[in-house]
Amino acid sequence: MPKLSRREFLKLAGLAGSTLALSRLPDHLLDVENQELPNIVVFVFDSMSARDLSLYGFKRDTTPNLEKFAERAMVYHSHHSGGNFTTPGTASLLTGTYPWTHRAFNVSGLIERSKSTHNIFNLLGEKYHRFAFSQNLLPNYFFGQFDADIETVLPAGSFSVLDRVVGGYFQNDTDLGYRTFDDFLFKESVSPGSLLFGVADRILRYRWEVRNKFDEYPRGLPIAGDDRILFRLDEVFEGVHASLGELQAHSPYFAYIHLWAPHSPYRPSIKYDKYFQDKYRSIKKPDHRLGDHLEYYKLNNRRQNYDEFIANVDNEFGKLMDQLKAEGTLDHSYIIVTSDHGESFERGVEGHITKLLYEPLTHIPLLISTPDQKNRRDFYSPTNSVDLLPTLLQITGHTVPAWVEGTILPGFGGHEDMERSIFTLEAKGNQAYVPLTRATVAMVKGTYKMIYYTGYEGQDMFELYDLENDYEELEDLYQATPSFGRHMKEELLEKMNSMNKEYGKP
Amino acid sequence: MPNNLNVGRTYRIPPKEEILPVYAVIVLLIYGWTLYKFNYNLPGWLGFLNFFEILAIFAYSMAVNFLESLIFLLVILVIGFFLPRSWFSDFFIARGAAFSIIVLGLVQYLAVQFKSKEYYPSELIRWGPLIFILILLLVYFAGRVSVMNMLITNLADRAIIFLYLTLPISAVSIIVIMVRLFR
Repeated sequence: MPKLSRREFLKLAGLAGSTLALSRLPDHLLDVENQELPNIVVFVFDSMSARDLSLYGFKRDTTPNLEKFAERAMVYHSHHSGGNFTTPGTASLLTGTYPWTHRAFNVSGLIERSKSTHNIFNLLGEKYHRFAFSQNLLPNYFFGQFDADIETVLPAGSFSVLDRVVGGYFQNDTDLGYRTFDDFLFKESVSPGSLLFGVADRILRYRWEVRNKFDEYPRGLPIAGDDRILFRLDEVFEGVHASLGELQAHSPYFAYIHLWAPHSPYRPSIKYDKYFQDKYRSIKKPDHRLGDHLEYYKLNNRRQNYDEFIANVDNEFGKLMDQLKAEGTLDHSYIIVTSDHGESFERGVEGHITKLLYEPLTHIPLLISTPDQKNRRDFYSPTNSVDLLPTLLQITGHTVPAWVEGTILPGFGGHEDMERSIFTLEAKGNQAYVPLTRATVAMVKGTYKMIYYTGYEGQDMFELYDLENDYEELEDLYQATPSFGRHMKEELLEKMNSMNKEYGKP
Repeated sequence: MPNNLNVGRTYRIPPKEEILPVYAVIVLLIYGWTLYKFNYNLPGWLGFLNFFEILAIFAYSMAVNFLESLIFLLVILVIGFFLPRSWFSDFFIARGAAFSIIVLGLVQYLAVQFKSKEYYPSELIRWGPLIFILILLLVYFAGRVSVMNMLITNLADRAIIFLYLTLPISAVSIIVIMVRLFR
């Protein structure tokens, strides 16, 4: 037997020990820490109003597949967004805080720098492989802020037919790349900041669209990312499916998938074009003084297009869920379906670039399917986008930080609280780091909703609605119930004032 | 007094004394447009971006403008190179500057009008070759008509002052971008 020196013996012993430890450590970690952690997939369908989903009682059969999905999911019936467009709505979802805290309420705004680590990617930690994909450029600004906490960010133009997004090419400076090129120099729908390249880019893009007709999309291909991306809905879903397949190798994973549809322009595939040739007409509501005064019949026509696009999205989502179910992905994953904000086709307002906060703009879907779920469970208390972050932390065994403004959702440890107040803020005309003086705030408490308009032309104004008995928000109860109205008003103003304190006097 | 250094000379590429005033007009129009749009966006950015982020957008924009202006100048030089000397290269300052003003003015008109698909300038593009010939005709007369020649040459000479501002800014911008991209 060869004689080992003391030095050689120690080296060998050390090597054997570490080999033994390494051979056990991965299994141990896998068993206790990783394998028990579920995969989480969050689907955000941009501009999907709960008010247009048959899942929530809408008369058009827009979402048969979501209804099928709901058969084994938690369904939240009074879920509201943090804002009425992508920036505040998504920031609230990702940070668990309201817009007056994260301050991302301007178009293409950012989360306050000192709070940029307050996000779901950071809190889930490195045990998760964190994945993000958004066809909408606005959430990509946040991904830029969170880049240290996300392992994989897919470019906005992934799975598209035509991708003219420039910002993605600036690997070390994506955020400012998007902002400079796609949101300024080449910006669509306004005059571009770059005279030669901007106009040339625009002409080339339209020539491409004119020359490349897609019979399957009679209204043209759906457009995303500030008009910089043209895509086919089926191909995007196929791409998402492939990405989820690749993520299996990185389990456990957290995937945030923000899809453009059913955001405008509403361009469904041929099967869903003119899909709802029915007599349905929404209730005619008076124009709002802060609205755009669009004609009622135009709004109805546009709503039909929107509903058709939703039905198209729902169909693709159904196919994706069938595939994931067949592959067994649903058995060990939480699947969350929600939106960043709603869409309006009433009171003279189309879309969501508005100062208004009526239910079509703020009431959004929320469905959560858990790995072992067999039945549907319904919850009716008011919930908000800010609740998703604490719920995900609860699911994954993390502690919810004190700065989180949301609460754990009922069904996951939280309880149905009809007395709780939730908020939605619209303040795109207000600077981010000064007190809120030009804003609309909605507060839902139980079945009542108060809307406060401040800083606009005319006097500040309050509206109060009973959502249970007045689903369409037609009867303003603010004057009729002075005592209750005052109570709601005091709570809302107190909340707003306390949030304004940090930014000095209004 | 504007000088017409090129009269009667037999070169195809003008000297830098003639290129500079033409380039100055190009810079004035291309940088001017972006600065105008930048100022339009600035109040919005001030709402949520910090000083350095806005500065970075400015740097990217200036670098792009620099590239645009060089490409446009190159186009003019190529036209001058291939056209008969008496059509373009004679009175290069007046003709080059006139060409820049007309073409970039037209592009500015397009930038304002062509905001969405409905306003796609299909007619303008269809008649593009004819419009180009018309522009060349105008440019020819800009050199021949002495009042126009003098006016445009004067303007181009005075525009040179902007180069003292824009060129250093562009150089610094390119350095800033390099630092940001390769940090």
